[in-house]
Amino acid sequence: MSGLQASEEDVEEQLRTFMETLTDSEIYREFVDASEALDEDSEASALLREFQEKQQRMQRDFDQSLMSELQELQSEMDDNETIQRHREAQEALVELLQETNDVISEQIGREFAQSTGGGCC
Amino acid sequence: MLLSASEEDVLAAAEALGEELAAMESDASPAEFQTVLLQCNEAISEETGVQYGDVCGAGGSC
Repeated sequence: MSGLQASEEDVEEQLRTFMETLTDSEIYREFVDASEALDEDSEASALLREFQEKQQRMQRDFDQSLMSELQELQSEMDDNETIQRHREAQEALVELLQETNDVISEQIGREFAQSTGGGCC
Repeated sequence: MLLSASEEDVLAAAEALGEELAAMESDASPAEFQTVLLQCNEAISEETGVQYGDVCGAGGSC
C-alpha cells in the first residue's frame, strides 16, 4: 500500500467520524426536527412558499405594491413559531459548519469549503 | 454510536479531520489534494443535506 493510499484511508476514517459526530450533534438534530416540523405545518409552509414566490417576482420586476405584500408576509413569518424555530435552527447549524470550516482550513493552510454547486446565482 | 454530541465534540472531530488532511497533503499532488477536498465537501453535503461549501462562504456572493 502506498503512502498516499494509507493517507486517503486515514482521511476517509476521520471524515466518517466527523460526519457521524456532526449528525449526532444537538444542533444538527434540532435542525432536522425543525425542518420536519416545518414540512408538517401546512400554514407555515404555505406562508414561506408565498413569500419565496413573491420575492422571486420582486427580483424580476420591482413593484411597490408587491413590496408592501412582502413586508406584510415578512411580519407574519416573524410571528410564526414554526418558521422562527426553523430559522434559528438553520442559523445555528450554519454557524457550526462555518466554525468547522475555520478549524479545518487553519490545519491545511487553505480554504477547506469548496463550492460544488456548479455555478453561481 | 455517539449520543447527542456537543458543539465541542464536532469541532474536535473537525480538527482531527484537518490534521489527517494536512498529513496527506505532503503525499499528494496539488490536483489530487484538491480532488480529495471536493470529495470531502460532497460527502458532507450528501450526509447533512446542506451544501457545505455554500453555507461556509465558498459559493461567493450568492
